[in-house]
Amino acid sequence: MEIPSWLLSPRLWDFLFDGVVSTLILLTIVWAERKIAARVQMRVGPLHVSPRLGGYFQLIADAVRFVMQEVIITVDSYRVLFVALPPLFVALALMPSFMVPLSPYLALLSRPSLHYGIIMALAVLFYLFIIVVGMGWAVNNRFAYIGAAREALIITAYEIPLLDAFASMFLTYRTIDPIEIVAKQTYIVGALYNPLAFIVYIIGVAMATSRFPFEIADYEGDVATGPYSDFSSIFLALTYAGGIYIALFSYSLLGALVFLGGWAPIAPGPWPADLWGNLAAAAWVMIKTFILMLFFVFLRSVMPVARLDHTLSFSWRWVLTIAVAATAVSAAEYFLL
Amino acid sequence: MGLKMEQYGMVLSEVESGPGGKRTLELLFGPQHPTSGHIRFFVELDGDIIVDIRPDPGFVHRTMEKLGETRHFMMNIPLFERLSLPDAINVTWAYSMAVERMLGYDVSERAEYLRTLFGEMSRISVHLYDLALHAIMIGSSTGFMYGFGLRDLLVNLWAIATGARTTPTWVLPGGVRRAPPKAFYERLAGFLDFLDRKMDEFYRLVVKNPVGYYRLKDVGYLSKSDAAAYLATGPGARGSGVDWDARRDMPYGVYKQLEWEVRVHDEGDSLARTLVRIEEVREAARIIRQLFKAMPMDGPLVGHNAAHKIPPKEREMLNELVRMSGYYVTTTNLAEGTGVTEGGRGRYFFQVFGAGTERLFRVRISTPSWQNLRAFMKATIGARLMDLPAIYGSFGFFPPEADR
Repeated sequence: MEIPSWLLSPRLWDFLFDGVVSTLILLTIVWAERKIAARVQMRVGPLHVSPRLGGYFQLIADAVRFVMQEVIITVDSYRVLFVALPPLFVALALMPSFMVPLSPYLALLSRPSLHYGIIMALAVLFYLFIIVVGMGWAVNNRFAYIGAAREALIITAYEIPLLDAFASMFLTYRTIDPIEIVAKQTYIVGALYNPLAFIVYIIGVAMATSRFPFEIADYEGDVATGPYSDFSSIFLALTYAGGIYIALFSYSLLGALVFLGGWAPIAPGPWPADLWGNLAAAAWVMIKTFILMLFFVFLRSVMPVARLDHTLSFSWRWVLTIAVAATAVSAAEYFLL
Repeated sequence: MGLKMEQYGMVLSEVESGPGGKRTLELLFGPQHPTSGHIRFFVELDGDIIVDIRPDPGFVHRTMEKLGETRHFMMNIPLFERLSLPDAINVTWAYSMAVERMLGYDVSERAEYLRTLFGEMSRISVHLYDLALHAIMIGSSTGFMYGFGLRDLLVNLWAIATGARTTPTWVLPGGVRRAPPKAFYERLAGFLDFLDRKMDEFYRLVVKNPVGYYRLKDVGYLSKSDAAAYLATGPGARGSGVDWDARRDMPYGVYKQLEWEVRVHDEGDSLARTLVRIEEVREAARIIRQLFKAMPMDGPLVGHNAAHKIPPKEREMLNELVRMSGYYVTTTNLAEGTGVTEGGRGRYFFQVFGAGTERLFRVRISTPSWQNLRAFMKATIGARLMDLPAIYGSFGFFPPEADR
């Protein structure tokens, strides 16, 4: 039987693989977060729906509930942005994962633009904060307003160090091309090349996706989930209860490519160029992404929430210093290696 | 958009009178808020700083004092228990003490030991409850689950001894209602060991955790003179260096015969108040271990005068349980009595006035949360908005108890 050529298009497979696997990872990570927390906290976690699968289908049930719930748009809100921003949030959060390759051949973009994939992905991810601030404004509620202001303060704390961490790695690899970056990590992954940059990346992503202990803009304790406080039903699923995890997925995917070696270390040398080889490489990337995400959601079990001013001073005083040191390390590597 | 800017709720109120002029945002914190409890605070914010905070209590005012005048004085015990269910024993103990003094009842020796034992369990219960809520207020869900998980073991012990997990209704004027069975003592020892271990874990996970530590350290400062002037009580006062504990300074129960310490910290911040409570849990475990050795395992559950009111036939099992028919045909004296106990959150005070009928003429209640409210407000002014939950939890403020 003749297979039509469009069926073997790398773009189609990249799109399908990324879409399906990111959904699966999203469901699994929320389930894993609840199960890990339950394990730490002497409980069993979700178990009522599908007890034999450890309550995995609870997430499906929750998703169905989110979709079926009544959509409430508060009277005082600015309706246009209230409705438009949550889908935009998810779109912007998921878009970066389509801008980077999942294997040497699986990529949605082709060469000249793929070269700038990681840069574009970072640029898009940093736009997320504008969406959050916009939501805080559209909701028109004092708690949301304070939360939005906090989000705007926090991006000043993580944006520069995070960019610096990635820039350091680009300096170490002497390239910004994602495929070449992975090729350079065949034997030593980026996290070993420059551990300082990896630390900055971890802290920066925890701040960017409001993981604990930096769940400050949407802190339950005083601003009652801040910008998301008036969202319900599908809007909540698109932002606070789901969208943030997608942003975490995108950040983790970038981390897996730049710091954890992407598809490289499983077997040095060129991957088989057929479809299965590429899918296996992509699956390996996704496994690394999932492990990174597991770490980020695990923080919820062991950390309280840090204070806003402490976070800002910590970031400007220490994280930025570490980021500069990481750049120095990379510069040394640039000249020595 | 069809709406004026004022309706957007983002307009700042401005007071520009001289150097004290300020530009503030008023935040209505509660009563429907994840961490406010049944109270509302009008928080005035200048940027991130709380420049003024006014409490609006009363959402769960249940007219406890008035209800206390409308029913038989024995029926007040389950009623007043609901002031503070986590601290059920210490509340009913204070009320029973007041009624005992009004009626001139004595308390049997065994009952004193049992009350002390259960009073300390009640202290552990309320501290676990408050520490758990404090942990979730500062964002640590694991601390929350630890506190409530441990407290669940404790209320199961209560269920063994009294038949109810959270509403024991166990202290009576003159004594206690039931003797705990053997299984209770056997499991209590194991629980205390487990508690000690898990409290260490809780301490490491929430308080010693650098993030948690800096949420509490130097936050919500209450000076010693302020704590005294605002009549703070319990950990609210002892965390500021006020060395006062009703168990030691107005002795009751058998505390005098036991070796224990009043835990005091001088720092006056949220961390000090939290440490006082964690240490009091350990002290309570220490007291209970001593009671194990000293406690008479047999004897009447109520004192002589109360037993005298019980018909002879119903007095036969007085070492195991108390039949209450005798109490219900007892009327109050034309006298008054007061009872003071040290609950987990502070000093409980009951004053009862007998009317000569089965009902009381008047009951006056003072609860620690109500007293701590002013100190709490004082400590909050000048803090940051994110500190409000950290200060709230450190006082263990409990609106149902404050509102009575």
